Amino acid sequence: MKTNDKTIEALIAGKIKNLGLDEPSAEFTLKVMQVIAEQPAISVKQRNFWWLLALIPILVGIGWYILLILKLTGYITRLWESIVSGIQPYVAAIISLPDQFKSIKISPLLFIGFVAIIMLLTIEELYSRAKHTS
Amino acid sequence: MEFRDDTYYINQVLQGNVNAFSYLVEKHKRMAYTLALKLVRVPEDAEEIAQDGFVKAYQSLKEFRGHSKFSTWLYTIIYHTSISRLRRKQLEIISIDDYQNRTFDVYESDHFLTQFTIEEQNTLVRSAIDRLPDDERALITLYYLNECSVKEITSITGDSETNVKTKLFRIRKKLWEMLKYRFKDQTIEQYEDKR
Repeated sequence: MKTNDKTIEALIAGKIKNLGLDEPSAEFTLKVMQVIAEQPAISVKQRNFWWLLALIPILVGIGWYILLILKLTGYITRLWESIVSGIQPYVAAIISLPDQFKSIKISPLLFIGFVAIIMLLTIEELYSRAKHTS
Repeated sequence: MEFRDDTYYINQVLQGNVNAFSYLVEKHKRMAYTLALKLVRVPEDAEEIAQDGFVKAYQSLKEFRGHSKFSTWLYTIIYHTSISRLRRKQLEIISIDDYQNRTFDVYESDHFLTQFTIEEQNTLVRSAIDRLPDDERALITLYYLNECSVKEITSITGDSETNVKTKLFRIRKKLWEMLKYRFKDQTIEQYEDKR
């Protein structure tokens, strides 16, 4: 009688499944965990977004300077119109430009804020490293 | 022992609970050991390979993305570690062709019985499986004992689906040729009726 493939498969599968799985030694898990205990911790580093705070003073500063440039454009336009209308350039400049453009100052508050954020981030990084190694 | 889903234990380990990994070891150790044993055929080596496999899996757990099952990933490590070990040791492989030309060993020639016990049948099946090449032994272990799909086997062994299916077909034929005259009490009719 010709034996078809399905029958052979059923027979072979049955015989192999009867074997079951082999059993390792009783101390298997213990040995694995002993080796793993000597490994460095593998916990996934928590992503933090505190570094985004450092962008705030930068963005505020950029926004401030953009506004300044827009104002400056307006003043330059006024200056030009004054010169064109016949007023001497020096006099036109005195009339058109306000004091803030006569000396450029970097806002001290922005600078202090930026430094404070960097220090906070550094402290947080050092703390989390100390926590992992302890 | 009731086990949760592997993902639960993996997340626990990644959150810092290293002991959660012991549940993964307990859950998969028998299949890991069986796979390694089928390949290297030395219990001490198989145990060492299985243990190394778990340690490597632990070390790479951060990179495990969950696209496949943890067990598939683990068995891939063990399969390739075993194959590397075999290549280094260059163990002798007895092929089916050699088997057909050999004289039967004492057990086979003296046990022309009308009925085998289950234990004796298992011994014969193990003996037949031992005569297969390494990759074929691993294949039937994964397919029949762990009930891996063909797709899972391709990701473990690196073989194509077509190759895996062809090999499984060939293995069944080989085992059938080796075993068909040994089970006089297990007639074809029993299996024909069950279909």
